Amino acid sequence: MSVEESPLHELAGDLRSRVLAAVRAEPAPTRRAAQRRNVLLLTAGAAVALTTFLALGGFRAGDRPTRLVAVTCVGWIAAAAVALQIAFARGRSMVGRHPARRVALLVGAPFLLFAWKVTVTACFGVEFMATSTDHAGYRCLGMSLGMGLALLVVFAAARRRTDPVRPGVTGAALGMAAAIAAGSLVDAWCPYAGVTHLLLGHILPLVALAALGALVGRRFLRV
Amino acid sequence: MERYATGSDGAFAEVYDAVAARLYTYLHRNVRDTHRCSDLLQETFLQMHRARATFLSGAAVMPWAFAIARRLVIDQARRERRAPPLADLSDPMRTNGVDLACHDDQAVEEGELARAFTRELARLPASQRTAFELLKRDGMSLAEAAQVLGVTVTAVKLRAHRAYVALRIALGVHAVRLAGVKS
Repeated sequence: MSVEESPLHELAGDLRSRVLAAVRAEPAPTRRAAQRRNVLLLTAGAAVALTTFLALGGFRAGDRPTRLVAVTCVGWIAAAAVALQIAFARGRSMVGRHPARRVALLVGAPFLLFAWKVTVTACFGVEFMATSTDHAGYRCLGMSLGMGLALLVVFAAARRRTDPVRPGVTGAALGMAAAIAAGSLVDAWCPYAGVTHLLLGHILPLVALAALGALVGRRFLRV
Repeated sequence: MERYATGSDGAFAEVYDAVAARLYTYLHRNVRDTHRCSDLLQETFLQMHRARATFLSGAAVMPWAFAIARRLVIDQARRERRAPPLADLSDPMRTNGVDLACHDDQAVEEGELARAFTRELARLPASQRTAFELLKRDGMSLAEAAQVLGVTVTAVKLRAHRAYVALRIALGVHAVRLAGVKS
């Protein structure tokens, strides 16, 4: 259908003026301004998470060998890097990439990180996995949710209005990435590795923040 | 759009001129009301404007605009708590310009066939119908349609093929009936 045949032909003048006037009336940041804002936001988010981590005592090995802490932390940090790459990558298209990688992240990350922590700790000695009722995991849960929430807010702000097709999935992936990034700090802080403690304090926040991220994504990431 | 993203405000008029016709045709096919269609077009451009900072260098504008418009159409259908809007059978634009008032036999038959086509298209599952329309009516490539729908190229091919087969079966039957009436 040519433009002349289309109903737009009749409405072109009036509608065009109306659209352009509406656009002129509403300021929108340029790419450069948005990039500056995003750098500030991400720096602030990282600063909040690190400040919280340090305020709560920072690195604590406890009874754990330093090598055990290093190995588990490296695993969490690597997972965070991969998760961030998957959640933020947009490819070369304005409608984003196929959601398969984000869905795989959402499904696989909790299982893999739990398996990683349990396996590595067990390799160093099962005594490090003793469960104590004094350390059910609520403090780790709170710390993970707090730091993860701060990161999720800045991630969502940096990725705002970027996904017209599946903002919920992208938001969930951002939530998961935020939770894993926070979890890598919590892993350096928490010396306990009982199974129930890990599930409540370290894995549950991943699921919770991914669910929250899905809600945030639907609201803020869509164009 | 690239110039607009980097701060050249005047470039948006060019974006409008390049995209509006196809976008309006798409919206008009999916929304009954002309005024609502205009509103949706305006809202689509406003969304593009608000998101201009996120535009990626070298990215295609058309699939992006269609994806935004499609989402707005779906949202509106949800708001109105009804099934996704179907084509307006009484609108000549939806019958590819066929003048239904024409009394010429051939034109009447073509009009009947066009209406049957629209009716059968509306009966298809939304996923198949949308894929078919993006490819056949909006002239998108498979890759562009896949981007708009957020699925793989293979999935678009499959959906469009199923739609095509269903339409061929339905319209084949209809054509036989029309031939019977004519004779």
